[in-house]
Amino acid sequence: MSEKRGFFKGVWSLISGLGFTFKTIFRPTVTVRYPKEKVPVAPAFRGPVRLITDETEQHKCVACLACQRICPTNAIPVLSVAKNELNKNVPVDFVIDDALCCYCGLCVEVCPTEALEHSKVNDAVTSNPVNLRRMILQNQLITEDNDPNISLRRK
Amino acid sequence: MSDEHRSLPVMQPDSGHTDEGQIPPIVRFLPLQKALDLARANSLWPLTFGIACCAIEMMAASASRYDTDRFGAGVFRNSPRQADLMIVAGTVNMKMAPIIRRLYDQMPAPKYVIALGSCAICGGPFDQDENYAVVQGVDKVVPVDIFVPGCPPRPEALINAILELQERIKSGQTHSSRV
Amino acid sequence: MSDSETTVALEIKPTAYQQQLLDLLSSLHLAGIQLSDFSKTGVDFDAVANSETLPAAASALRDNGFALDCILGIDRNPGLEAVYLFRPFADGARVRIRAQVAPDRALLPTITGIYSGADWYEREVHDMFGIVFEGHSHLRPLLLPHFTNFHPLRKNFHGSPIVIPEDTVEIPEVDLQAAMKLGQTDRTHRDFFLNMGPQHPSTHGVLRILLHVEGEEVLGGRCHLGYSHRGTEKLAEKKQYVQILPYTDRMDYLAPLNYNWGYAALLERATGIESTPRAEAIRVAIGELARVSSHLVWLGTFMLDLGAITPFLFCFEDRERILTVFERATGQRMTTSYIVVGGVRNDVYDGFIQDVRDLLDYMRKRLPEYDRLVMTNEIFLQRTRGVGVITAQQARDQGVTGPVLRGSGVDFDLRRDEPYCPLYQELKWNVVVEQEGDCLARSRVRMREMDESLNLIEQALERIEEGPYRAKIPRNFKVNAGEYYSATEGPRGMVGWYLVADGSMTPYRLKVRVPSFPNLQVVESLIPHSRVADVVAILGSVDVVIPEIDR
Repeated sequence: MSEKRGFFKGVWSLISGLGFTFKTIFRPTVTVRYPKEKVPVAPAFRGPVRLITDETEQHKCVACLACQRICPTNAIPVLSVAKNELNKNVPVDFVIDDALCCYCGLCVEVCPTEALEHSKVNDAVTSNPVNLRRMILQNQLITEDNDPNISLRRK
Repeated sequence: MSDEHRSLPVMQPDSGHTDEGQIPPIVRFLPLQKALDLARANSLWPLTFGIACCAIEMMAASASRYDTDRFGAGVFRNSPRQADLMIVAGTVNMKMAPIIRRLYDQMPAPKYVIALGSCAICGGPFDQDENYAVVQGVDKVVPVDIFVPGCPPRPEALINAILELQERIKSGQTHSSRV
Repeated sequence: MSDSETTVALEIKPTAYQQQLLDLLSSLHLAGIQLSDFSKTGVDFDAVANSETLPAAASALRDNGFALDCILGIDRNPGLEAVYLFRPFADGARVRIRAQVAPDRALLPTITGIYSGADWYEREVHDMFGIVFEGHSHLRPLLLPHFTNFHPLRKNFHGSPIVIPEDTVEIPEVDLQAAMKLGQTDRTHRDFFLNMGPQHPSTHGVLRILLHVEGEEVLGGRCHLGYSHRGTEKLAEKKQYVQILPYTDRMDYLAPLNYNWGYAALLERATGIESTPRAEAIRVAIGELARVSSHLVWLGTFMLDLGAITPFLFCFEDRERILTVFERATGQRMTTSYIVVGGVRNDVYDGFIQDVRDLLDYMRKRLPEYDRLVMTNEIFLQRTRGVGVITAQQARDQGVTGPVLRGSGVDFDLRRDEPYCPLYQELKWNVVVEQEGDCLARSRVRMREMDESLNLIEQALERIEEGPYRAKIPRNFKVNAGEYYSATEGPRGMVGWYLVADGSMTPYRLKVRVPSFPNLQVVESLIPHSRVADVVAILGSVDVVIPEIDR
């Protein structure tokens, strides 16, 4: 008897579950139609780090190496310094390795001149990890244009 | 991280191991090959294989918001023998590396690998001087086709990687199709 | 002990209960018994044991209702030390017992016969420090590969080359019996060993369970960990305090905010910095949101294990909504690094309160639907009712915490019993307890906890007042030399942080007591005489995160 009851209860919970699923048909769609539409990224999103440059390609970095020192994962392997004509420190080579970066944002927070920012690149891929070592003085970002091997897809 | 620490004696994927898919065919029938590649590209079956944080983003990519089923890559297989795409989502350590190699060997050719996240690319945040456990990149264990940076990468980055991989399969630029 | 009685007489006046415990400790022939200030160190009583007095002390503490918090090792250089932390569930009184050994002759008696939960802790200490626990029945490497010959957390160890072994067979056939702790007579001619994992859809990561089965019946099983071991505790010894924060995200990726919070609470206890009222309210709101999102992942994946795919899709969509709020507030979906010493890292955005209110309205509609869809489903009930029963005494011996403990009828929640945030005292909420101790009870605890969390969030939103979101502290602060312990309640249970500071900018030793570690250990004792399908249900109901266990 109890087995019979259990069977009917099982069938009933199956039906009620299916009814719940069926109701979802009439609910609004939640799927984002990526890549046809962009996925919205929050303004606070911490993407790959880059230098803030103005219209004349000038940046505010004074090569104090604070970002390199604070980086928990040694993701700034190269940051070499030289003196410019005004006897001020300027970076001559500034590399951020996105493969080591953990996107914690400590470098942006620690920067005394607010020269760094997080870009909003959210869907970069590459076929060669060497491309992830970005020279950010040249304002490189891992985009498909930068990677000659990966511009296969029609935009 | 010093360079000599990176180039440690590790098992190279090329040496000692041969992929079953790399035996050159005697006769090559190009239109059929193209059709097969098209079919392969649009029905990628990933292996259910999450190691760490990135696995949750992989699950998110297959769930309703991002839905990799739209690209034919949503049928997650629990057995490597039914899968042709391995998404290495997480930190690979010394203990795990031989298992990844074994899973890769169990997958039928042609097979493709996506390294998802910093840890799978080069050890990521754990690739430090005091490191004693983490392998510096899954490409030391298996050949990788697409690298996805991020810690963890967002689901749309994984979708982008799958799309990129599809293009590469169609144009014959993957490790499996380079005979 | 004459010297112990002199040290007991401190400036802190013991209460009646503390005096009772002091009398108990004094009767155990322990040395150096001290009463310490809980608000500063996180420990109430200190004592030093040696290999003769340790088992008797542990036994007496167990008889007085103490549970084993954690065992950890410290390399004092020279000299090794094992630290045992005990805590009763009824009253907040943490007892720390130290046992010192020489590095060349590191021998201690095991307490696995007294506390079954000590098993894995002792194996971990043996892995990391090379302390041998005499009498331990199975002192094999737990987290490290079987071929390693180093003890990574010793101070004379500085990294090692990564060797990838060619053979994947870790346990040869002859060792299987030893690995399963089987005698010759335990084998029948029909039994065999079944590997579940490391690549298995229902082990939630890279856990490997070696099952000893006969047909469909499981005779026993052993967990093999370490497939996600990353050496975070070693890395932390070389990082500044502020640099460790990103690593705390990556231990428990389902609730990184609760881990951030635990780490911040530890440093606040160690440095005496207090967070601002606004930050406390934001922490409660966002920390409870993280708890809801973690429980949603549990619900989705647990149902997936039991064969229901629909809840997974629903739960992950709900979680995406929470993650959207996280991303706007903290900057990342999962690895948030948001809660820092003295407050939160940046102020919440303008529409935060409205967004969370919308989310609450949405979740309040969703949770009854899950109740209808899942918790009353007959198939679900039959898969979980009476399966994997943990008794209260077993939970105490194993050191289980969190929803697993509360599902066994023990009314214990750190948010209430060991307050690390004053708001939890002021807000109205209940600790959810279920009596049965089976998979169903644990599931009900989590489902009702989500309701309670929503209530907490709603009240916390009203407490977000104007003011600074972060106390003014230097970025590279130092922590005074000393030892500190702090425990917070994560979604899976007690997240304990033990810090040995030497006065510099980096910790001397940082140990994380993770909740999944004992929670998974209890699974080993639950699976004998169940079915293989029940193993999946038990594992899903306990809700473990493997990288958190392996660290």
